Amino acid sequence: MEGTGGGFRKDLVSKLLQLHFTDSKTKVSGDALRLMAELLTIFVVEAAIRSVRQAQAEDLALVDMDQLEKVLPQLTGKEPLMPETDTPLQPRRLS
Amino acid sequence: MEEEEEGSGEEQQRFSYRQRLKAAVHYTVGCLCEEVASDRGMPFSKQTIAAVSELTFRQCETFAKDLEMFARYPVRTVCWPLYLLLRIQRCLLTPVRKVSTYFWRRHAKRSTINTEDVKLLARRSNSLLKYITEKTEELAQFNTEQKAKKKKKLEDDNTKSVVPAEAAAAKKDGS
Repeated sequence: MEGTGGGFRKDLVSKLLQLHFTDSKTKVSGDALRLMAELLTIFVVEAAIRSVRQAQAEDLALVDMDQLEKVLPQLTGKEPLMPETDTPLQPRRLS
Repeated sequence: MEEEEEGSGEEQQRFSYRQRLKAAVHYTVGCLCEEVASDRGMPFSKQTIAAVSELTFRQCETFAKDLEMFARYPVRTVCWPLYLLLRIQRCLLTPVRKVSTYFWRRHAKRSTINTEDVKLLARRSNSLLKYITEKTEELAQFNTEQKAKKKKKLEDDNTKSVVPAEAAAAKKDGS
C-alpha cells in the first residue's frame, strides 16, 4: 500500500535527535533514521486518529483540546501505546 | 561587556534554531493531521494541532536520550552475571584480558545508534514492535538487494575491462 503524502523527513528527524544527544559523538545510522521517521509519523497519526475517535464518541463536529487530553495518557506511555483490542496499524510503504 | 553580548548572541542563535525546528515539526504535524481530518471527515482545531506538535517535539527529547542510552549500554540482562564477573576479574588480574576481549567487544560502547536501538523504543506495545520489526526486515531486504545490484554491476564492469587486457596481451605475444 502506498504511503500517504505526509511524513517526517529524515533530515528533520536527524536534527531533532541531534539536538538532545548528550554526547557530541553520538550518530544515527541511515536505517535507524528511516525507522525513527516512520515511528514519529505513526506517533502523530495515532494521536490524530485517537482524538478523532474520541470526538466521534462524544458526537462532536470538531476535534478540540479536551479530546486530545483524554487520549494523551495512552500515547505518552502511561498506558500501552496500542492496546491489543485496537485495530492493527495500517501498513505504510517506507518512502 | 563584550563577553556578555557574545553569550547572549549564542543563546539567541540556539533559541532561534530550536524555534525553526519546532516550526518544521509543526508543519509536518499539520500535514498529517489534515490527512487524517479529511480521511475521517472530522476537522481539528488549530490549538489541537499546535498541542500535538508541541507534544511530538517534547517526545523527541525522550526518544533521543533513550536511543543514546541503548547504544551506549547494550548489555543484555542474561549476561549480567558474566559481565560482573569479568569486571571483577579485570580489576584483579590483567592476564585475563585476552579471554575477556571477546566479551568486552560485545558490550563495548557504541556511538552510532542502529535499528536494534529503535526497536527497543517500540518495546512497550506489541503491535508497534511488530510493525517496526517488519519495517526493519523490509529495510534489510532492500539493502541486500541494493548490495547485490552493486556487486553485479562491479562484476560486469570487471568482465568488460578484462577483455581488452587479454586482447592486448595476445597482441604482445603475437608481435
